[in-house]
Amino acid sequence: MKRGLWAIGVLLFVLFLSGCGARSELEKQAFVVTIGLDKGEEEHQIEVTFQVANPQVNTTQGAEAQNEKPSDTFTITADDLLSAKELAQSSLSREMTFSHLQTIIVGEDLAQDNLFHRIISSAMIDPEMRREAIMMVSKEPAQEFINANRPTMETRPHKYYEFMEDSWRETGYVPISNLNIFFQRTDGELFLAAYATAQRDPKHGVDEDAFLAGEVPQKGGDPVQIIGSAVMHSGKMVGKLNGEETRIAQLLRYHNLIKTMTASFPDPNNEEYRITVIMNQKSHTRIKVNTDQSPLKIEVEVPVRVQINSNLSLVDYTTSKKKRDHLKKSIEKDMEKASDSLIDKLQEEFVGEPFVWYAHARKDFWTAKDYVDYNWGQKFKDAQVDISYDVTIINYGEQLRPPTLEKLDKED
Amino acid sequence: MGDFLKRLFEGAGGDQQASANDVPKDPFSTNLDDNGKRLEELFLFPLNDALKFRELTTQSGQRVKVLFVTGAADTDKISDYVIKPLLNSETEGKQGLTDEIMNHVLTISGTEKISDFQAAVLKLINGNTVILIDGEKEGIAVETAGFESRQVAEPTREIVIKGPKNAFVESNDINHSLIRRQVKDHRLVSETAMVGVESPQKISILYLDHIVDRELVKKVKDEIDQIDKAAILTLSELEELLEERPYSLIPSTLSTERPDRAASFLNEGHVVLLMDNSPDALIAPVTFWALFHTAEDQFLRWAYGNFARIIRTIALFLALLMPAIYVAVVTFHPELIPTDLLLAIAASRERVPFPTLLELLLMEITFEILREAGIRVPAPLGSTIGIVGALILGQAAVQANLVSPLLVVVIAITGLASFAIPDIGLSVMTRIIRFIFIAAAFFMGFVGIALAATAMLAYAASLKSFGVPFFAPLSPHMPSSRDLFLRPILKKQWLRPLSMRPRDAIRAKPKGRSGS
Amino acid sequence: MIKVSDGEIGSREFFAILYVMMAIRVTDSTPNLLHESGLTASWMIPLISGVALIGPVLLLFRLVKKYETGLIEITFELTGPFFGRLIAFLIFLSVFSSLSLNSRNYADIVITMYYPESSVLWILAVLILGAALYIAHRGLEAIGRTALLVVPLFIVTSVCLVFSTTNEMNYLFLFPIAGSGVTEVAKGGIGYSSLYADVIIAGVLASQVRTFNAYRKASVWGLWVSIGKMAIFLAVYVMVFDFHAVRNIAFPYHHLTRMSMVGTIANRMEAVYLAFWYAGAALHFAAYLYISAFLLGKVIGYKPFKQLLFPVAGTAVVLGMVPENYLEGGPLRMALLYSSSGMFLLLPVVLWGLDRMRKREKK
Repeated sequence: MKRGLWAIGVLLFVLFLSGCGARSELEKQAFVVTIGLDKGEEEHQIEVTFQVANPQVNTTQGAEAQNEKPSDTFTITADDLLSAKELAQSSLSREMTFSHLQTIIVGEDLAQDNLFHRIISSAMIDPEMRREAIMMVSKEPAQEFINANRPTMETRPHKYYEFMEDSWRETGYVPISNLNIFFQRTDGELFLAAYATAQRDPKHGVDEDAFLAGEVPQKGGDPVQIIGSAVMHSGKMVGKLNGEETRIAQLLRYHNLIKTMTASFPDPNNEEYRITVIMNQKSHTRIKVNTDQSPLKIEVEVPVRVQINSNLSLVDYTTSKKKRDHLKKSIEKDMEKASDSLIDKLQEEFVGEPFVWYAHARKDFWTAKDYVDYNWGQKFKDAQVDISYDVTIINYGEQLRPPTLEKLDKED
Repeated sequence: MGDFLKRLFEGAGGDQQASANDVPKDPFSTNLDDNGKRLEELFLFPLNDALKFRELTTQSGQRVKVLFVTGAADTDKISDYVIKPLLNSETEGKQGLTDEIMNHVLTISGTEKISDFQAAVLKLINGNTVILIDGEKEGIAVETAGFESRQVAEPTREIVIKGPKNAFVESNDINHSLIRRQVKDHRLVSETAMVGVESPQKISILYLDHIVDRELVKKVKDEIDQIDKAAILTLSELEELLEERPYSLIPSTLSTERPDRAASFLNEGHVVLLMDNSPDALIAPVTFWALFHTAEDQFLRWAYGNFARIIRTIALFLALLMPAIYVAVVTFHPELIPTDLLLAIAASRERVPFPTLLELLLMEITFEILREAGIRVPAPLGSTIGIVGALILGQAAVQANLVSPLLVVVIAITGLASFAIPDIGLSVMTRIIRFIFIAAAFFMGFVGIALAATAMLAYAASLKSFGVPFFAPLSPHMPSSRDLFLRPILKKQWLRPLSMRPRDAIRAKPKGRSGS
Repeated sequence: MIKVSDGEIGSREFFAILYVMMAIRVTDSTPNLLHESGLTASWMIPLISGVALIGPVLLLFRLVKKYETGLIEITFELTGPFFGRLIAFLIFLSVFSSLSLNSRNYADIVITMYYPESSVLWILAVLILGAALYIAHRGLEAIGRTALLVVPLFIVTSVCLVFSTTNEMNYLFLFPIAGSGVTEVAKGGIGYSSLYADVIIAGVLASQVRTFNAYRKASVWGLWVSIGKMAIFLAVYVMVFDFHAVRNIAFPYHHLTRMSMVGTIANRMEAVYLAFWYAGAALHFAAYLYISAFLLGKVIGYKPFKQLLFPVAGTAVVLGMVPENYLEGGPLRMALLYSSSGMFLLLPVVLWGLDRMRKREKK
């Protein structure tokens, strides 16, 4: 017993002898929720914009500060992210921490620069940087984007991005893009990052969802639009995909991350109108990669389940099997066409694929060295890609047939 | 020198105030008056009027003295069953007068022959009546003990909703009968031992002979023999004297006021100690499970009882760790908290002038004071404590910016959780260990908590109570009926815990179907 | 003392000790060594190590069964006092150096991943001189029982971790199946088999296990569970991070805990895993400390070997302070692993050979 006490004594003595430096009180820390990265004016310099949440706004009643803004935003020019963090301390009274960092926004200019990959890779050394943080590319410099983003509902910035990310999983217009995936795809594979802007440049007469951020016709509301994706190759941005292409890119993956999406197609039975459907995938996309052939041959079959949501043409599908088959065929054809054009674009412009097909190709190799030597990115450029869709229409809406407006139509 | 010191401490009185055990074992003389006188001296007669005696003459003229101690003996019994038959008896000229009186005169059940003063004194202070007969070298002790005792009442500490509702009382005999009522087994042994040098008290050691490990009984008896103390008034005192590690936070015996619980411990091979004047039974050895379980777990249906146990397990961990986790999270691991909550805590802490640790200790100590005060306060004032407590803890401290509101929630949950721990020893232990965890969390966050927890677990796991490891039969693992964190249905509890090394390891094994 | 005071431990406790000694390796920088040599096929390396260990372990069982005592006593018996001491000393050196190198490694992980502003000495001192020393001091029984109490929790957290990261996994990342090539993988498997040599080292405690059957059962289970866990985790690391990235991640376990998500509410659970991991580390080093002191006691012929615990722990901390950073410790670890692999694979074989020779001489 005495020996035990003695051991405890030593433990306590050691405990009291030295303190642990990592301890800090909550109110002495500033929680960064968003970081914006931009190219600096000087070569090799970046401008880092920090958005720091203000705990005294919209959190608890007792500590509400009436006239403060929900977040504090400022920009520091420095050589890298961590030195910017240090420099920021010169004006910020609290110790800045990234432990609740959720979103990293990269200005398009920087993303297209070779510097970007170095910046982000070196920032990862800081254990506070989290690999599940979302990465977005903004059309304008990130600092402008962050400053312009003033959503009415979610005045606290972290909530805004949290809810936005949830909604991406429902629409598919935006890829799920976090740093972990970014670091997986550094070897010739393409990485899709969400594309956002706060500048509006509405484009009309576009087929429903082929928009890029900023192009969606919208009046009022928050200036920010997030749709489409920035294509990154070896850590460098090489192009953009619009909302529709991004969606297809999600569908062509083996593992689709999007739960459901709403899309519209021209009605094959009445070309004037479009038919809107809710789509989800009933099982994993089937992908067959054959690396023995030259050129590389890839066969993809996407099983899609479709529910008719709105039927502008008011064609009565419930009674005619022919019409139904026609509709099915037409959706399949439409999607195959869109997919083919996406593949063409990828092969010509970007020399790579964002569908994780390379993982399927790996099965054909014996050692890792063989695979690296194969140079998937280059081979994909000339690959023969064969995409087919397998559409099942499970539902024609809640009404058995559309309301009869034939008389009205005839009168027109 | 030694003698001198001895005398100094024992007092100069010497013979006059010798304690019961020091009464010389002098045999009775044949002279009745001498004997009476001697006993009077031993009981400090003129000063002390406790010893009553009645001198009477039988029908045949035999002089007899009846002695008893007031308060200890039942006078009705004495007059009805001792004095009356004696007065009516005809005993002249018969050989072996003592035997004759014992066998043919007295109409009371328990009689015993005694032949020396020590025995006489011991019998008298235990409420027996001593009959001295003129001309005989032996006396008779008659069992007429009639201590005042209360009725068997409901338990106050170990309350159950379902199940038997009687509790031990201050009388050893009643307690015996309460246990016998539960354990109807002829192999239930009740041994008697004496403790206390000055005023000896009887202790009953109960065990089921066919189940218990003989070594355990021997160990308990040895421990009792080693007690060298003038007077032991209650079982709680004995509890501490039996303790192997008096300084340790972890108890090595358990006291219960429920006869059914004592009986179930007997069935598992534990030893139960009973003592006069103590309304509870002492169970040895004790394991963590004994402290953690309640009587009700077995009375309730399987699912209900286990649900209660799960809740209690959670409560135990909350009571131990909640404040420490709060300190660790707030000062070391802010990333663990969802952003919304984090900002809320940060905001409410913004105007609190103390660091988290101080804030927490302030509340924690206030709560402990409140708790202590709540026990001591007279019942009519009880509600005051509630009001003051609620005001101090809940409203005023927050409004005065002394503490942040979330902390009040943390302390309240911790306090509540510690009330859910059934055993008083375990509960106090938890409250003390909590402070160690808070210190560990303050120094090293979760790493500190983990290291402290592991070290403490190692300490607890290495403990043995009367040779039985504290966490047995979980660790070290031994075959048992797995009545640990959860209990199996009764049909499956046919194996007694081997940690007790019972000699009859299998309870009545279910025949045919096992419960499924 | 009724039953367990004989100081013997049962099969479950012995298994738990082996588990804390070996299975915790998935959390330090060991996976990096294996990923480096196996790439996508790194998960096979532990399995190959396991196969390589089958022979020596079986021979050890035979010896222990025959002599009914611990490894060191057998060595003394078979090789005489001088060589016995020498071999005991070599085992001690390997155990002790791995104790001090690993303790530094664990302190480095904490500093890199969690408490960047703490000092190495502070973490080391609390871990080794504080918790581990105290636990080791309570004796082998205490280590065994405590380990038995917490090992189920470790297993549960490991399973939770794997399940909570399934969303991030892609099994296709395990291809190409042969990784760095068959010969490379096999070489790694044999070279790193000393990662599981603890099962042979723990043979020195065989005399303190209640029965030979308990010893054998616990050893077999301890070995395959640890190997299985390592294989699963290596595969998980590759599936989550892909083999390019995993080579650059210093401590994959800790990155994995950061990705662990329980629904959407609790998605930053790493501190919880940290707590369990460190509790495991304390027990791991307690077991190592105990065995070190035990071996040192045998080498210098000092019976109350528990008094050696403190000097051994102190020396380990001092030596742990020598490398400037964890990168310096890396090559040392690799050298240690390779050299001790040879030793532990051969030791039972040599002893068994000596035993046979003896038998023949007697005839």
